Amino acid sequence: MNAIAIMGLINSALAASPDVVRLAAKFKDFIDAMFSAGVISKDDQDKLHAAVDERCAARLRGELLPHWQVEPDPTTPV
Amino acid sequence: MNRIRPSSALQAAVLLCFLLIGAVGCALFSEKKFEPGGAYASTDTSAAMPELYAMDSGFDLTYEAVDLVFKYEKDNRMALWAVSPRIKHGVDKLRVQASQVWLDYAVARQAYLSTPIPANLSALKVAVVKLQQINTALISVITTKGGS
Repeated sequence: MNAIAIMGLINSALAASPDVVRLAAKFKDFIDAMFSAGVISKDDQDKLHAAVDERCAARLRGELLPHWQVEPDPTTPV
Repeated sequence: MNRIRPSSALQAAVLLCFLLIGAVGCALFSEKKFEPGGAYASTDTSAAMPELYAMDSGFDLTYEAVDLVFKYEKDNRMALWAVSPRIKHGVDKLRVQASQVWLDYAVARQAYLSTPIPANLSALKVAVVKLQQINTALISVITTKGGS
């Protein structure tokens, strides 16, 4: 692996951190909900339902986020 | 060994991904109570939907994990391409599969919401399990440079 690639991956580690933190927070909420007193609050129910509704509606409209789309291979020489 | 050392952020994501597979499995079999008035709670005209809650929470969490890897690959395409073009090719293959599973889930959820019967729930379960498998495959593609 060349130096530029290594630098790129180091930068990516920093850039990816907020996304990982977001996923970790979501995971914590999920665990909290699972092991809470057994009652899922109205707010949590509505939030999840709305988020999944929105995602499903978008997909049924044929929408795909840019990073979910297959793009041509890079042409820049490695 | 034909392995790359993933960044610490990605390592954390990998760990979370494996944890979530277990957590989603637990959620599918755990008993839930719903605060009245919520989207999954019973109403005067309908029963509570704990199964849909389990499916939606499993789908939501797995989607986030898959989305994170797709974003990671796109944001760092040139660096990963320099490591191995097989990484992009492997992720692209899984992009196509994940997009289809996402669509399958949306269609199955629509069917379940209009007719909440066990037969309509099984399509949701299949989609969640497939998305988890895609998530595991994505982690494998990244950590093995696109193929073991």
